[in-house]
Amino acid sequence: MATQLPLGEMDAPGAGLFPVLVGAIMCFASLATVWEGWKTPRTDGIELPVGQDRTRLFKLIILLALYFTAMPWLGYSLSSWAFALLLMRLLSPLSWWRCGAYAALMTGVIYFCFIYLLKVPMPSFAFSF
Amino acid sequence: MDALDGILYGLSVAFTFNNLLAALVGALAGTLIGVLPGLGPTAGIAMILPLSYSLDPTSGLIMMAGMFYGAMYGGSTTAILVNMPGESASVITCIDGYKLTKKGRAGAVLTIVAAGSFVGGVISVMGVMLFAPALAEVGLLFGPAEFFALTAGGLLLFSRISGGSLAAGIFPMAIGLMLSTVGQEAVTGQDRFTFGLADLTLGVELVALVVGLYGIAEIMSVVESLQTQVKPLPVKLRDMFPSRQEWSRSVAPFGRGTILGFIFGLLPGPSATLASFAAYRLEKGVSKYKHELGEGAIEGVAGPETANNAAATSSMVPLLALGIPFGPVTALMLAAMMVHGVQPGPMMMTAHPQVFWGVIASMLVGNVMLVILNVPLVSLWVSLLRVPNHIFLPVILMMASIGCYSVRNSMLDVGMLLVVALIGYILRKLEFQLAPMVVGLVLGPLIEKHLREGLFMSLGELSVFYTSPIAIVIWLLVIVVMLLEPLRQLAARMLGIKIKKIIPESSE
Repeated sequence: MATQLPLGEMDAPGAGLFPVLVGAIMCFASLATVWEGWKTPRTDGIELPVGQDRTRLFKLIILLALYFTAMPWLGYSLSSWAFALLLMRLLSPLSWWRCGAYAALMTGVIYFCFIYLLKVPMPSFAFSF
Repeated sequence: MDALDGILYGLSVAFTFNNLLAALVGALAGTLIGVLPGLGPTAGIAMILPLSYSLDPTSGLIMMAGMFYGAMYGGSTTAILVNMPGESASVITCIDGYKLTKKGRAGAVLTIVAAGSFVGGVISVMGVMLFAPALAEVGLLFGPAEFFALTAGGLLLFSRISGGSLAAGIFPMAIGLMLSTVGQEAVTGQDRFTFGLADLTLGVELVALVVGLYGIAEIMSVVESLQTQVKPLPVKLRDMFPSRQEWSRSVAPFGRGTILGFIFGLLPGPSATLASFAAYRLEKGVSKYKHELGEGAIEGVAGPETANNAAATSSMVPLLALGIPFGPVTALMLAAMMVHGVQPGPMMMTAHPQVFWGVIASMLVGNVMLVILNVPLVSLWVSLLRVPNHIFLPVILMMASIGCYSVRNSMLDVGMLLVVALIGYILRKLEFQLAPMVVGLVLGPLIEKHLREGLFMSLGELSVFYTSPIAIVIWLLVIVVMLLEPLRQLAARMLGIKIKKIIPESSE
């Protein structure tokens, strides 16, 4: 893709020159990575989570994906409350009611500090919250 | 304006109400960020970066600087109390700090750390006051070729010194440089790699990259190993007083740590982390009590903690004097300055003296605040460690999304948080260094600018980049550092000479 950009002349370089150079650096870096990976003994494996740890991690990733997807539709407050509720249920043995109450408190405090006081513009729901 | 006039002017700027408040908020927020696991100084500063845009540039930068050295202090608290470093520069503090906690000396050690951080910070600020203007004057001699050597060579050096193998630094650096090419090109206005998305015209958002890489990826690691959360023992105010012997044994490490930290802060690389490791090695080599190091010696805490604070402070010199960030935090500060229309570099001292001297003088004030507030407030910081993960993790994630969205009201940036976090999590598992990616993203446009300027001015003559004496010295230095590890291996293989590794295994 970088080569499709105008390269220009040596005394008047175009928009494509730097991306082409960066592409060459990337090729070198990739080769170095492959070379080191090939040289590394197989015993130096990476530590990946297993069992419940892995399940918890996957659930966090799914929750984050849902949170970021829902935010423009449900607004910041509603989506944040739901996200905090579900995340607390995932990380603690607390009941749904207590999680719901804590989530409402957290969302309320953050809403007050950032959106009400500091006027940070965030996506809002049909009822403007 | 000479250095003395500058200091006095800077103090007059730093002592205004708004700037005092910014330093206080920054120091406190930094300590909080350092204390809480899952949120290092880089991610914390990235999250408040958009808020700093609403302040004037001096106050915004004072707050960010306060957060940086505040986090250096806060990170050591968790290292000492629960054997869990709040940020990478405090890793080495765990060894002796936690052993001293087990001996019932936690309070005294925290006081020594506060005193050491203060000494390191204050003396380093004085060094910055004297050194930054001198370096800025040298910087006036620099043209595009010298700046190209400094930015491109500095990035290469940074990637190599960041830790791990060659690929561990170079590969993320290349990703960072690639990301820096996304968006509208500065000279011709041509869109590059935007895929028709209007939000990408302004390029990849630094806040999204940093919060994703350092904040959310770290939270993923915390969630993954949730069962290992350790609760600290309470620290009472009456336990905060070190003994006379502890004070006297700390004086020399304070001095050595300050000098070492100041020097490391001027170099490319994760200066605070490298400085703390080097200070520990130095104590192991020269301390009268070196035989006790590793078993709970106060020197093993005093030296590294002084060094990392001194390095955090002096890392401002290359940023303010030359406009070149040698680490992710100073890269964020550069981004904040750019937004405010302040161009750091040799001309900053004359074009924006208020920002230049104000930020430097505020570090003096901030360090005093830090020591006054943190020793009595240690019980508060300790109690924060007892806040369960299920409370503070949702709060951090909600704040991260606010911080990211508010930069340019883009949901694309928020979505990018997750993508970047996944990439960061995987890269960290594979033992890649993440800092070169951030610095690559920030330095990429500067490298391109100096490259193009150099080619324009020399009418396409490539030799311009390697004929000036300053550029030659910089490139020689880069080549020497890049060849250190292969030469070490060659010496070991051919001549049987064993030299200790110069580049650390990891700095993150």
